Amino acid sequence: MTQEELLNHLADAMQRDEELKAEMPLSEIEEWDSLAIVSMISLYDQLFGLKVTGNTLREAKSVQDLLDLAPQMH
Amino acid sequence: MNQLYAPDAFKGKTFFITGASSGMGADIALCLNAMGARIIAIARDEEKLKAKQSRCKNPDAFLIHSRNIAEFKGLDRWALDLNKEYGGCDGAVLSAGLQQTAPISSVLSVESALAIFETNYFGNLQILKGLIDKRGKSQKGASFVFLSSNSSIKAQKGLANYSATKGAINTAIRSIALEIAPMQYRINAISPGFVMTEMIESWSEIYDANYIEQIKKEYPLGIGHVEQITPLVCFLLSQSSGWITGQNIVIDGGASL
Repeated sequence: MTQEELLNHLADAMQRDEELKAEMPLSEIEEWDSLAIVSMISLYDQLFGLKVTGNTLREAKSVQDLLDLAPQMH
Repeated sequence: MNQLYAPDAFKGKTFFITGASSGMGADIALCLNAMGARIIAIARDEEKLKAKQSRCKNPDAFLIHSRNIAEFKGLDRWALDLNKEYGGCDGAVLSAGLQQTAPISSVLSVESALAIFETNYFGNLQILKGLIDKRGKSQKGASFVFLSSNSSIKAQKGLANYSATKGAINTAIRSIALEIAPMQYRINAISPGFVMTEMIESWSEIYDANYIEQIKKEYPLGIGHVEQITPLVCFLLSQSSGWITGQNIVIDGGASL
């Protein structure tokens, strides 16, 4: 999966129309709320079979931090 | 209806209705349309939808989208795109449903459960998911009504599969109610009892008159009519019920008592 594809998945899980960029701080993303965090947990599970914890996600500061949780990007 | 609501009580409102071509869905659609609402009418059969449209008070505000919601893959995106196109709805009535009477011992009873889950539960759920997606910008105060059945709380032989699809609705809406409350959206289920609709009239051809007579005995206030269900749905869609969410409201003439 390319970074762009993953960004699209992240935007979809956040129910966000506007494009996501890696450098965006999560604190400035309106859609980043507790339900979005739960959606991320299920997204990473579905896409990569990866168990990401709520704490890990709450510590994430930027979209890049979310991207970094995924296995090696191509 | 008219005693409770002004003739234009739903003016400027837009509602999606699945199963809008027959039975309760159709009656609700026609009634809301008559009170000024714009209806996005979804059902499999385009001809039947057109027939209902021709009976509408405001046919221009009865917009037809024929689709079989049993094919539910990607249906959430379809509903989201429609919701964007119509500028964000004020709610929906999820009434598309299939019935089945089959004892669990009957041939393929388990396999055949899939088909009724696809329409009654997953299809409607995908539409709902699309409509509560933030990107569709449904209106603040939007209200969703999911058609369950009193069979979800009152056992009857032969209804294991059907009642399971309705039981799924009753429990799912409780979670969903919590998830959508921050957006000021509400969702409730209604559980009607035996109501005379085209669907049920068609099975009285299969079952003998005795079957209907038997059912009548179980209904203290008699068998229901769609016109007795529609006012409850209108109430749940309106702001008059603004503090009610996550509930299953039984409306069955006392049959489940």
